[in-house]
Amino acid sequence: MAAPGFRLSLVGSAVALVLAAAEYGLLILSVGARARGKGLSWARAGAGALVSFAAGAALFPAAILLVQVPLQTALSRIMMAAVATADQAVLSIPAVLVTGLVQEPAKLLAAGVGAAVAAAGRRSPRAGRDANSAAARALTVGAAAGVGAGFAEAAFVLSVAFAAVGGPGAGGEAGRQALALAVAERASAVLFHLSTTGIVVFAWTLGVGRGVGALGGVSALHGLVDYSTVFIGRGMSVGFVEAAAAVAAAACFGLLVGLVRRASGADGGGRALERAQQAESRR
Amino acid sequence: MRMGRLSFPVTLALGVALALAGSAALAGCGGGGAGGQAAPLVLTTPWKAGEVTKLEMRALDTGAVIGSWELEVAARPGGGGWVLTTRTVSPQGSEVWTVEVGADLLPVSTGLDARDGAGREIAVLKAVYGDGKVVINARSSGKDQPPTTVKLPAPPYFDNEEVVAVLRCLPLADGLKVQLDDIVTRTAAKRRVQATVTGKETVTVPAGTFECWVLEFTGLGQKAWIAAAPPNQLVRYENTAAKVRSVLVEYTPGP
Repeated sequence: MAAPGFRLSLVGSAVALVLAAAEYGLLILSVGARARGKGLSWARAGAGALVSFAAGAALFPAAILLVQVPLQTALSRIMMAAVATADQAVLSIPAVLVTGLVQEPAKLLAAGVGAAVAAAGRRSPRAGRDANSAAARALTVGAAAGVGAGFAEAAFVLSVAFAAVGGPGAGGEAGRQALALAVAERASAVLFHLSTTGIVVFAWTLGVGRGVGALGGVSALHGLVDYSTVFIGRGMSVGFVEAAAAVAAAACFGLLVGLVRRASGADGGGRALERAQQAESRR
Repeated sequence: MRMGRLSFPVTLALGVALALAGSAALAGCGGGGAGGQAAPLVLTTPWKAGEVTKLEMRALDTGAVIGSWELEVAARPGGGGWVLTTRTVSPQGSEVWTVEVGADLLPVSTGLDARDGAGREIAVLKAVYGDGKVVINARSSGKDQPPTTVKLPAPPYFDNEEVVAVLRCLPLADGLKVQLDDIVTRTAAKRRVQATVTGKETVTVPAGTFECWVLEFTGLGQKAWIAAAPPNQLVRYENTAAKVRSVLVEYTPGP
């Protein structure tokens, strides 16, 4: 059966944009004035955030279409030909885990584009490698790139969801419930994208070694969160799996907020992180 | 919010470990498949060679007739099995699937002939089962596709195009839950599907009124109504994803 045609809808995109703006706003409110960082003007921080958002929204779908889907198709073909089981919990492992390995670096790349804009005109190339800058970059370019990617994905998913019920308010009680679940699921997905990219950019700013470690960690976590959907209908309800994904997203969000507050706050954490960064740079 | 004294890598590692543990717990809830079931799957064929089942395909939302669906059972040449033919016809085109199965309903070969509304060939497929794998050769839009191989799970497994027939062979009873390993030759894929008897309903269709077992495929959005009395005809079938409801209009038992 051929797949039905698809195009982004205005309503789906608008709801996705509201989700993205609300969650990025929540992050900024959670960390207050620490968002800007030392030595970075509000104008430059804003430009970096906007460029990161746009790059995230553009690079993320491109990475999925040009890298992730062909890779998953190839992996799926290999699993079908090589593994003697019909159990999706086994067959889908490589294809699902690869989502994190493609999507997280794509978002990091988008953040890198924004970082280049935000750092343009900086006096010293080493000036940005401190805990305070790490916190600022995590927010201005990392979280912004993640929220851009989350927005692009949500616009796609919610356009499909709204089309399925014929628009808001239509489709009966079951349709409204399905739509509400889709919006809730995307809210947690956008939060996850925002948080993981913020965490990776934070770590990357403190050193490439930390950055690679964080990228590996969040890529694995991303794959695991996606993998949990395999168990829907196998003793696990959609609600349970989505709740677990929401908990993972909230935990990542909390971790990002904590890192930023500690790094840029007056509690001495920032100095501790700076010492760690200096120790790494000496190695 | 203030973070504790844990360092960033430790916190992240803990999170990943917790997620891993959660996934392992989830996997444990998955249960076994057809191959791993405690009780072996007992299948009893309720048909005779020559049986013909005709259904009308209707749009789920409007009820408009959109095509026909015909199922035929013939004896396998040489004996010891069946040839199950499924023919769907709509103004957009037609598909004829022919599945040759053994007496145990394990598939031997599958063929597809798909044509557009004008009778022009869209795709032709031939899949041959054996040696623990199925080899699929296909021609699509006039071009030969490279052969594709799918490794087979432990028996029992079924070709996707015979699954509806297999439902009629199950020991249908309230609460029955079975997992079927389904080989989808069209996409060179395999999947484990779970079918559950959710209850009994009296259903009226153009062919008459039948007391039916209702079977639901978990996660596929598909339901089948199978007559409770032999020969356990397929009375109604709904595919909510495709928005199609098929109803029995004529049943001819084998001679």
